Amino acid sequence: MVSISASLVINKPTQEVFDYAASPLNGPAFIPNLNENSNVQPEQPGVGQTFDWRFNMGGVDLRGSAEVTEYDAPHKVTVVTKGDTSSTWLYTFQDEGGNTKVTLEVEYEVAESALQKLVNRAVVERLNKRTAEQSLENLKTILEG
Amino acid sequence: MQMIVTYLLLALSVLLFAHLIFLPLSKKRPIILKGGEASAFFTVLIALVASFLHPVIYIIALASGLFIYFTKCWIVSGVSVENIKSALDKSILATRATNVQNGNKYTLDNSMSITITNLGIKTSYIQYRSHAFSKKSELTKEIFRKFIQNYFI
Repeated sequence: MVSISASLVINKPTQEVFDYAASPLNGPAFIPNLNENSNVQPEQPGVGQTFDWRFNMGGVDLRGSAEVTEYDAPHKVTVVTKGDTSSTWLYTFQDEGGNTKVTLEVEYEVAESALQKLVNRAVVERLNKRTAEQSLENLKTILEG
Repeated sequence: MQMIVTYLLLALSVLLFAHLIFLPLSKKRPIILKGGEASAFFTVLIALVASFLHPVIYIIALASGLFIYFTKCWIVSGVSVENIKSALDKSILATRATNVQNGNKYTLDNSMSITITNLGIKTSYIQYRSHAFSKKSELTKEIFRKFIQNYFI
């Protein structure tokens, strides 16, 4: 498993940031390259909520399903994805004097073949790191703007 | 020399056609012609016609390319204008941008205006005008593109 993380302080209360970021319906709005989260069931966020996702990586469509495995409002939410790529997305929210420090940690599988390993290390890792950082920057733009 | 230019333009046309038209159609997704890619596509396509007909047409090719690039327009095909408006409404809601709507004209965050014109046959012309830079408006525009591309044709 490869792990990447990013964090950012958003000048909004923890509950508001959590409510927005923990909803799969809002994922495509702030996660770059995440084209679609569909078939979200049930609509109410919580442990056991499932959805289908479609992610674009360098022009290639990756698809799969996801499940919320941990939902501790307004502190932590974990989403496990399966399909074309397996990953775990952990969001933590810490109150910082009325503002919120959001940390996003993503763990994903490294492909087995040497070529795929090389591609993963050289390109995908950088792309994913940038995606994590950009996601939080977008979240800040949406919630603070 | 003329022959080489024609073959070069033909090869570029095929590549751009495959990337901008054939690829989305193969996935049953709408076609979005925008920015530098659309500018290059129309320039090369009209220049190809010029290489067969008359060199003066090269000027039209260049002018059309520059027009598309600098007017920041999109041409969307394969989606009804109602669905395009619905995609824009959803993206405005998703980014919590402020919006003033006047018919087919939307003004986001007092910084960007978007005008949607129905050209018929499920094709629309979308014109952007930025009055000031706004990260939220740019993000809304990007999400708008995603939501259009999520439709099936």
